[in-house]
Amino acid sequence: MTELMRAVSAESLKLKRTLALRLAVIAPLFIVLLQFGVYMARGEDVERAAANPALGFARGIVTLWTLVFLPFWATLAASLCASLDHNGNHWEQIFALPLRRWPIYAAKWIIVFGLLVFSSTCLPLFTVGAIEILKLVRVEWGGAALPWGLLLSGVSRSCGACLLLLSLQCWLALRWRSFLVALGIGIAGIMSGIILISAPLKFLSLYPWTAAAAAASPQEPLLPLIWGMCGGLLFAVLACWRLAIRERL
Amino acid sequence: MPASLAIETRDVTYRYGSLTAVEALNLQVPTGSICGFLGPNGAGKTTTIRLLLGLLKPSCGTVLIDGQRVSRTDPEIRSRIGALIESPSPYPNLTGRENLEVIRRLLGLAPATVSEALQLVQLVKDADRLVRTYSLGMRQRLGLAVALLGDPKLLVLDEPANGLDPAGLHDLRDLLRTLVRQRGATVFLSSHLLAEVEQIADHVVILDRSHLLFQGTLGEFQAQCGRLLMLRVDWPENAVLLLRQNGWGVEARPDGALSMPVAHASDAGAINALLVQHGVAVHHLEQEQASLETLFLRVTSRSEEHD
Repeated sequence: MTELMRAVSAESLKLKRTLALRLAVIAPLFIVLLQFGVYMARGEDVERAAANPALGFARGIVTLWTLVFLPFWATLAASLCASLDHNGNHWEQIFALPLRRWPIYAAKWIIVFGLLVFSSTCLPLFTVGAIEILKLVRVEWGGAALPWGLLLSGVSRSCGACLLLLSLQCWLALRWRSFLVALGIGIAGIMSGIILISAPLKFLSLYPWTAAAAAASPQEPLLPLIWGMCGGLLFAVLACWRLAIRERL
Repeated sequence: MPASLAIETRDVTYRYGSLTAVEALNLQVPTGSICGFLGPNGAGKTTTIRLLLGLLKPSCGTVLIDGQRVSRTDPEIRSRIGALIESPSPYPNLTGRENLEVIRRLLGLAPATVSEALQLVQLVKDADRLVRTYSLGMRQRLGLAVALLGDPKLLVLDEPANGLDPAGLHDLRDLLRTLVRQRGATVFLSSHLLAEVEQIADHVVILDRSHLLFQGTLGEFQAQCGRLLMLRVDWPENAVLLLRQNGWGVEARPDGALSMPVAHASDAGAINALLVQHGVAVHHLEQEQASLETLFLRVTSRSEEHD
């Protein structure tokens, strides 16, 4: 366990001044700005129909986040974190140290998940910030209640449910040096998820790239959450073990 | 009593599929020595280093460090080894100090070890600069500092002199000698700079096409390879012909001198007599110690002829 904590500490330092760390803030900020722009441009049409316009604003963000941005960010974060060691061929130097291999791989998982949790924490904060600004510029928003419940439950459930996808992407990114393998499979998964969005909810709950969106929906959120978390943890353990016993670096 | 061995391999073979990278290797590197590990490209040097560090598992045979078997799954033995593997490419987004800090955190060492390592490689002044601005020599020093973290008893260095300027090479020699003298460390270094190895190493190991060609002290290597006889004669072409007819290997140098390897000191007299008997006047005759480079080229080309 000490080895794992040391490896996590080293991994966190490796993130300093990296694109991955910047994107952890930029990704949720971008989606909120996107939605903010849409509401500023044609908000009146959207607002008129809704009793609480802030709820509609947040729901749009959560849908976009869980269906597209979160799977894409998980793919990108895993690839960027793995490439830190693939690029300079640091594996030999690291594996020559008196450490077992599995904590080194497990630390990558923890760090990538940490980035996702960080982004998922930023998203509700940015969303509420944007709503507060909209309240100032649009009188109709004056009494709108802040949709904390939707934001926190939707985003946290989707974060847990995407663990399977994250494990899959981490394994791909660590197993193959080429950035393209993990990224290509990730993008193909996201695109297929968007195409399959009208499929039965059970299928969406089990499909790794749509499980996060299914978990954020109020209907049967438990299945994707349990499947994503348990499947993700099991897959992570098996993948770490498989990577650790691999002969070639 | 035989000297204790820092590195020992027993019949170690490693195969990449059908290709044998190292075959039946029996290395013996004494504790406290600076051992130069030489071999042409593709000889199996890097594979051997990976085997020593437990990065690869031998197809057969045993690798021992300080008498203990190296196993990939048991990292304890690697705590005695500091390694610099090929060209070090530190994390470019971090400073030199932060790069060392990454390794320090992984090893769970005291924070002060980072500054100590930086001082040893004389990188304190540039420690807080981003590594992407470092020269090749500075990166090499940083790689050495990584190898020195944790005060290892055995340093395995793959091409440590790469990219170092003459002053850097001098500092590297001093550093390695100090480590051996003061800390009783053993240094196992591979290098293509044979003149550099000659200046620093007391032992040499020569590998060629997966096989061990020689291991022992530098003196033993020089004695085994013989000496070079340097001649200046009045009629070089005739002398070359005559010597070759009599079974001597001889080469004409561009400056007109002749050089030939001889096994014994008494061979010089016999060669002189042969030339004089056939009317070739000898102006100058001198036995010189061949450089490591000459000897290395000689033994590796000899092994090629045997094949």
